[in-house]
Amino acid sequence: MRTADLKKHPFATLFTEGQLEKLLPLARWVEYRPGEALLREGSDCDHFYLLVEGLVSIDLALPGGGSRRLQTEGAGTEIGWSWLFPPYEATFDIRAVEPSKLIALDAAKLRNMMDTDQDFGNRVLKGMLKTFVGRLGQTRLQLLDIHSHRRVDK
Amino acid sequence: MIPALFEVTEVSRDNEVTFSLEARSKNGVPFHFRPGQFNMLYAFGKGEIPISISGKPYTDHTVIHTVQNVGAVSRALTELRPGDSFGLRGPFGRGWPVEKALGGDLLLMAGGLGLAPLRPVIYEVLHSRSSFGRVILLYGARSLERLVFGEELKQWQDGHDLEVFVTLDIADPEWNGHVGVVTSLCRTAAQLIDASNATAFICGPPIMMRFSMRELLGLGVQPARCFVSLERNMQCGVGHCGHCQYGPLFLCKDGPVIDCEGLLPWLKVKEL
Repeated sequence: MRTADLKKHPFATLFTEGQLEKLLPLARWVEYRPGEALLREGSDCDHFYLLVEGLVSIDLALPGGGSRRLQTEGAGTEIGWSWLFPPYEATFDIRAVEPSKLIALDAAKLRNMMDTDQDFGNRVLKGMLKTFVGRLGQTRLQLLDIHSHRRVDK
Repeated sequence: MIPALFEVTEVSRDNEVTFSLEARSKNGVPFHFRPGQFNMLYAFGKGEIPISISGKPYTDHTVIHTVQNVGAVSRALTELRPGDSFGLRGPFGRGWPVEKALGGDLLLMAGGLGLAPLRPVIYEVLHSRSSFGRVILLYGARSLERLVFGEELKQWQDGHDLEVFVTLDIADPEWNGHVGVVTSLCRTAAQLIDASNATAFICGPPIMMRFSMRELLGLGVQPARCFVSLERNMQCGVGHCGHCQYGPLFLCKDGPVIDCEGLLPWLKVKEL
């Protein structure tokens, strides 16, 4: 892994060259085939993923079997937030829909780096907050059912 | 303008409530339009409504409209069959400024039936493909059942001339594509193009357009190069009656396609 690899994801634009160098030992490439699970609800969330290529889904297991696909996330997005707060457990299933290539960052080391380097921590939180706000907005529109708000002719 | 008489030549069902009507003039006069223009269609005994033209812009003798059954007039239009007649006034309004996208990247963003007024743009792009840079279509529908132009979407996806991303708000387990509102695709698209030099055309439900516009401008698309097609109560079609007034604009003649630069101040006015 080189800093050039980290720069394949927009998350890298948040950091200085020096901070990217410090991130390198925490990062490794991972790949998932369609249908493979990155995270399962209740499992340990010990990595923070940056999706560089492919498509992953956020699924919710339904009572009695089966699951509901709530949203998908494409290249350039950050995957998994539960690594940030105790109990560090995934709250949804995350599954690859297309062949997916991601950068996995070691969550425990990342939290430690955020605590010891407050400027770095602040940048991580700002980046994640931007993602949260975007995804919350999309979820609100999904709930609103925007396609139902059309003009009706008499 | 008195409605001209048109005869339905073919009807195709796009989804459970949406139909495309191909028609030709009964007096044989060729029909020409620019992508993004609309016609006033008159269902006899029911009334007249504005409907965007959704077919190829370079055919002379037939015109296609895609109509969703959302009321009395549109229902009557969707019930027409080959051989039936309806009245047509048009084409009206200013269409998509396709010429502004020449030589650069073009981002098309559609929600639901909003793909219909953008389909002529796609035909025009495919007709002279080498004149454009990357062309990306972001399309969002409520569900798989509500997709329109499903077969063409697949053809466009399988071809190499367009990069097509389709997302569903609500998906069945067998759907293996994107899930979420169409604005969720913007970030992916922005990685593929130079947003600051791209031209964007947006059409769909009003809320979708408002948020799509915000998203694209946030990603660096210039307001003067971002266009939306606004849906209002068009009646006369020539800017006299005032039913379609939006701020200082009469959308039937100043629109329906408006650039975001001119539109932004009016978006902040509530209940307009």
